[in-house]
Amino acid sequence: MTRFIPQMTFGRSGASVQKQSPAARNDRFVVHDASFWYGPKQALFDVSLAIPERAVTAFIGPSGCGKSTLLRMLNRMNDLFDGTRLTGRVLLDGTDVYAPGLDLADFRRRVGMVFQKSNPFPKSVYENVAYGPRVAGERNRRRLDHLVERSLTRAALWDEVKDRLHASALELSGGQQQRLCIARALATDPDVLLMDEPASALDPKSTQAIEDLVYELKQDYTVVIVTHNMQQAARVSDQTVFFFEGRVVEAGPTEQVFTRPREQQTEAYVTGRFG
Amino acid sequence: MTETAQAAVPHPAGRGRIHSPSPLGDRLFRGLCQGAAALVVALFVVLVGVLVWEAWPAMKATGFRFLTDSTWDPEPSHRKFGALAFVWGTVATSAVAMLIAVPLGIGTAAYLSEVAPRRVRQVGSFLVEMLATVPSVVYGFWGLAVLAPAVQSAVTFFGGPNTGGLGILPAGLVLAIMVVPYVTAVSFDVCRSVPSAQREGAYALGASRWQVIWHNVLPYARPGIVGGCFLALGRALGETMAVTMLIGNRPDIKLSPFSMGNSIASVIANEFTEATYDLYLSALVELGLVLLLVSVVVNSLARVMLWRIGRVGVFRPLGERLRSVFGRKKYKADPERNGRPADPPATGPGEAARNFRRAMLVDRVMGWVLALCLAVTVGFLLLVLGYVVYRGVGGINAAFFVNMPAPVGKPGGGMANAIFGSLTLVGLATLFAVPVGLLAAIYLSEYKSGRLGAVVRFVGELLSGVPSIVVGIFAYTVVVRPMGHFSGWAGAFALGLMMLPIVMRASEEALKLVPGSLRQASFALGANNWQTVMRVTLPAALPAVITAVFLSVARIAGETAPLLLTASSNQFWPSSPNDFTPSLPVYIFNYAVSPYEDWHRQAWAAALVLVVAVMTLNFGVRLLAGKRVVLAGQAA
Amino acid sequence: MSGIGRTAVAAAVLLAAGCAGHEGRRLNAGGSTFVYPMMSMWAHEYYKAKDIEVNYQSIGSGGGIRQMTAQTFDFGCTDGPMNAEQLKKAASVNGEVVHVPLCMGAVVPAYNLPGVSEPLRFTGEVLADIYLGKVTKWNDPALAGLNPGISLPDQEIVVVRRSDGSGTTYVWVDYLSKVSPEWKTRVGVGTSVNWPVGIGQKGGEGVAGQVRRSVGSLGYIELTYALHNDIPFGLVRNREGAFVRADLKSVTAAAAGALTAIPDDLRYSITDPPGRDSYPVSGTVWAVVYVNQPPAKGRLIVDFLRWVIRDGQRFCAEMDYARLPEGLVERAERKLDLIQAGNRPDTAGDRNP
Ligand SMILES: Nc1ncnc2c1ncn2[C@@H]1O[C@H](COP(=O)(O)OP(=O)(O)O)[C@@H](O)[C@H]1O
Ligand SMILES: [Mg+2]
Repeated sequence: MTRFIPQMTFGRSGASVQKQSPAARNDRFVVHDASFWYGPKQALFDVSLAIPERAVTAFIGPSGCGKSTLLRMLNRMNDLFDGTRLTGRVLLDGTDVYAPGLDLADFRRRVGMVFQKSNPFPKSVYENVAYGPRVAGERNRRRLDHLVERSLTRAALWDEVKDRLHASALELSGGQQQRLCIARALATDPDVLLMDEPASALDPKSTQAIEDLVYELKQDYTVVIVTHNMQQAARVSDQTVFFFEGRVVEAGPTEQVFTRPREQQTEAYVTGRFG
Repeated sequence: MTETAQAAVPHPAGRGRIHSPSPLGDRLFRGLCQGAAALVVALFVVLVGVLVWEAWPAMKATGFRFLTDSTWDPEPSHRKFGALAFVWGTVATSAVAMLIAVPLGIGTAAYLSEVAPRRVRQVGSFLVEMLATVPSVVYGFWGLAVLAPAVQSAVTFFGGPNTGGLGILPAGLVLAIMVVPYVTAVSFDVCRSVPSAQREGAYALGASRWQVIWHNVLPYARPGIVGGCFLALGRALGETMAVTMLIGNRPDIKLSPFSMGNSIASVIANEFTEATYDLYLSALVELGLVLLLVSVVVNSLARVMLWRIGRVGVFRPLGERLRSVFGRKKYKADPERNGRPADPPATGPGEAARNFRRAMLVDRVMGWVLALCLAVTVGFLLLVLGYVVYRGVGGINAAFFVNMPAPVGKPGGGMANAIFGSLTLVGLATLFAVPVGLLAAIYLSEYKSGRLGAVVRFVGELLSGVPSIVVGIFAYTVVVRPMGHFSGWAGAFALGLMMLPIVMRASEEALKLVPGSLRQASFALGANNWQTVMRVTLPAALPAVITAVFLSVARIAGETAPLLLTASSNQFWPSSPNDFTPSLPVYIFNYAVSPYEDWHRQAWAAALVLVVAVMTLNFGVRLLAGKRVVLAGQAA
Repeated sequence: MSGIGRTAVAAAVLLAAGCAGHEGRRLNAGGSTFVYPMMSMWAHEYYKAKDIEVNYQSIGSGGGIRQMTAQTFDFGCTDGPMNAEQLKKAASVNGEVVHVPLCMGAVVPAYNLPGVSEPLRFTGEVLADIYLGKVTKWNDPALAGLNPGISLPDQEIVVVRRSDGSGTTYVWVDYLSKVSPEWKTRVGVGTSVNWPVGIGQKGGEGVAGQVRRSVGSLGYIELTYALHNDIPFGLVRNREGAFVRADLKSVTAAAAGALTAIPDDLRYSITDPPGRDSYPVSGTVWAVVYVNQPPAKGRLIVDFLRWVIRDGQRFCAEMDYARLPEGLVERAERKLDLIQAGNRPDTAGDRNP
């Protein structure tokens, strides 16, 4: 597969996060000492980690340990909740993501997100994929057509839907819907793709398709994937971060975390003794 | 209730033998529920039948001319009855009302649901519901005293004619204020019910708040919003008091913005009691029948729309559907390329960026516009309430609550008997509506009700859309006339008939909220249906049912039109429900149209008492009951 | 009477479902909205004097006739006499009905013309032309000619009238059709008519309020509404050519002037009556009641109505209603005698509680 080179940008205005030359370690996201509260309830405690470029980073840990919270912190989806609070810093390519004056819409287009439960809009397949470019101001029909086809192709869905681009997205199967959501996220040309248990609600075959896709995508994108499934993490990720009760217990190359964990808790978890 | 709950636990002192549930009790109970459900249908059928029967002489005499002729000349030697002008007035005022109320209501709902901080959302949605509880007589007087002069100065400023500020436009404006809460409340509820995954999906793609509202929330919620708008339209069509005071009551059919008109409900209210010969009366009933028909059609449409909410996926946005029929060529894959994307077309540098900057500007502007919608809606509430307080507070004193009405010029008159009468009427109406409504709801939710269930539900919706003046005519014909005199029974029957569908629907929702697992647990222990309902389901749903009852009481407490035709009134204590029974709304009406300042003051005091009572009821219920309970209660 | 005490007692009575009836102590009546304030005064005074309750509901004259006919009311009150058709219908239900005049009132042309302080002068013809839409401006020569020395504005006349069926309307259009042949043929007489022009407002208060609010307007209202709302109203030229201001005396005079012309059944109209002092747009409120009554109820009705036309008349002035002329009271009393004479033992069954 040829490498995908982003050719288009959408209205990156002055206040947006500027692309910078990658740091020495080629880290895309850097999180410093982040703590996070839902109202009075603290969900993250002094989390620090870095997410390398063009690699798959997996977040693992028992349910309720804060994986989704951290993921949502990265693209500021937590802003949608009332009464949340954050301390610490989150940097994307060296720029503070929570700096005042940041162009949120533009930022979110650079950080695509795929949710645990697929959430296609009740619109046509085409309109779903074209949504991101459209809200970014793209009106040219031919460019939109091009983007839709390219994104669906990247998400390995094109062949299945090319004949029903204008049928409702809700008529697709569960696995197709999730890949549509991935295509939709890809259509805005993100640098980073955040995936929150993208396959947890799918059958094994669709899961396989998603995993293959993730493997493909890391050629061009920085991918963060939250998963429950240890095998999945082991299969698709390059780096793994293990969470427990709102803290990062261990982070490192996947192979090391799974085979030679430094912490006992990690070992207990990856060997299936708890969680 | 606690007793019932305890009864569910097997008695420890029992001898260990469990009585198997009596199948007879179960069958009886089922029959009772089924009977209540059938009664709801029967009532509606009888209502339509009675109206047709009463209207028959006029139908025979006028035929289709009734709907195509605009001459209404009841003068005893002319006897011409053409309703076209009234149909026009009804449609025109409602159209004006909807043109204003729909954008305003949806804007307010969108602001409350998508933009407002939680505090503002809570307070705002509460205030909007308050707006729905103000009796319509009050809106009418407010419109006359405040709105009409304002409209006239505006009209004069633009060089329009002197109409005293009356006409289709001001009438439509007041109607808009009256129905905005309905549009807002329903839209708000359906917007809240849009899954947050939809919003998150859109935000994650970089959509602005306005883009999320416009491209995601509103399209997703559209069937429900459209349904809410139709419900509001149904109310606007049947509204009597406020319209008759502002429309100018002239049977014109003109398109000028300053034109006056007359509406069906307003003609009925104006002429029903003075109809001096049988054909005249019959023609008025036929007007009622036309109104009923229009309301039934509108309400049916509303319900069909609301039902579609559950099937959002099938509902393709209108724009997309049009585009697919008429629109530009659809994008089709080129088989030659075999799945490889074509070369990207040339990028127009800056064009998308410009569009994007514009979108951001639109986002900011629309944020303000939506906030303005809320401000306008709440502003109306404050204006109306402020006016009631301003006029009414002077008449509130101890005498008002404890004394009997006094003739003009005699100091110290009060409305003790009217307060008492209102309580009696509402109490009796509740006694009628709650058992029937509850049993019917049990039938709908706890038994496999099949065809009959669908019919009962639908008829319930129709019944809730019957204009109150038509309910009044019906109750007059089937209760007052056979009994030979006005009575509290007749008034309570009319009010109960209006409560019934509200209670039924809300109770069904409340029962549905009871988790199925609770029922299954009961069945698994060998209980039959009737035991399960009485000991498990109903007690669990009771708080929500009680809430619904109170909310529906609040809704009927201010009704005037049907009481004029049924309970009539009484300057003295009613000796029993069989007697003429006074009520606050009727006293408000009678006193307000008198020439005496003293009586006016008392009328406003009564309006204030009524509004405060209804609001206290609403507020209290909300405070005491949990959110979940209120949601179910509001379902109607 | 202590209100709280009464509330408690009545509540207890009702809650105990004790239908301690008011038979023999209560009359139910209703109809004309015009007479409602007067009637509530009479009921109040009568209750004080005789401990009998008269519950009066202002549901409109037509309603009063209809409910009386259906025997829903013990008697009805109406601003216009029952017509032949209504009498025939009543006869088929319960026999003969008598008309008993109770009091009278005037209907006046009230207007809102800031800057005009002297009362305007109208004739029946001009008023008819205004309500026919033929005279549309205040400074129309027809009006200016009647009012020399008053500078009338070049402004449209905003015509206001009742939208609800009403005895007041009946009196007004009855007068207009007596003085204007065109009115008589084009519009006619009734409690509701097909108005050629005008804004309709509900109730006398509605019309009065509209006139007060709207500059340049003209509406017909009962005298009491004009007096209590401080709305100026015009003089109307009577048949003898005198411009008469409506007041209690000029109304009573109208009835007295018309007395000889009043038919035996007392279904009369005193609009456009003879007599120099008579105000020409006056109306009467009648009680209409079946001759055939159960004895106890018949007694109650007759006693009350007799009290109204005798002792009750002294309360009229303070409420701005005109009393009946002496001659009419006697003739009315003879009608009441008919009711007692109609008592029949076999109709003793009482319908009301
Ligand atoms: N919207 C929210 N409001 C309040 N608490 C929340 C919210 N979302 C998550 N939490 C809490 O924060 C903690 C972390 O949740 P989450 O990040 O979803 O865990 P994970 O994805 O690892 O299962 C949990 O205890 C959860 O209950
Ligand atoms: Mg999670």
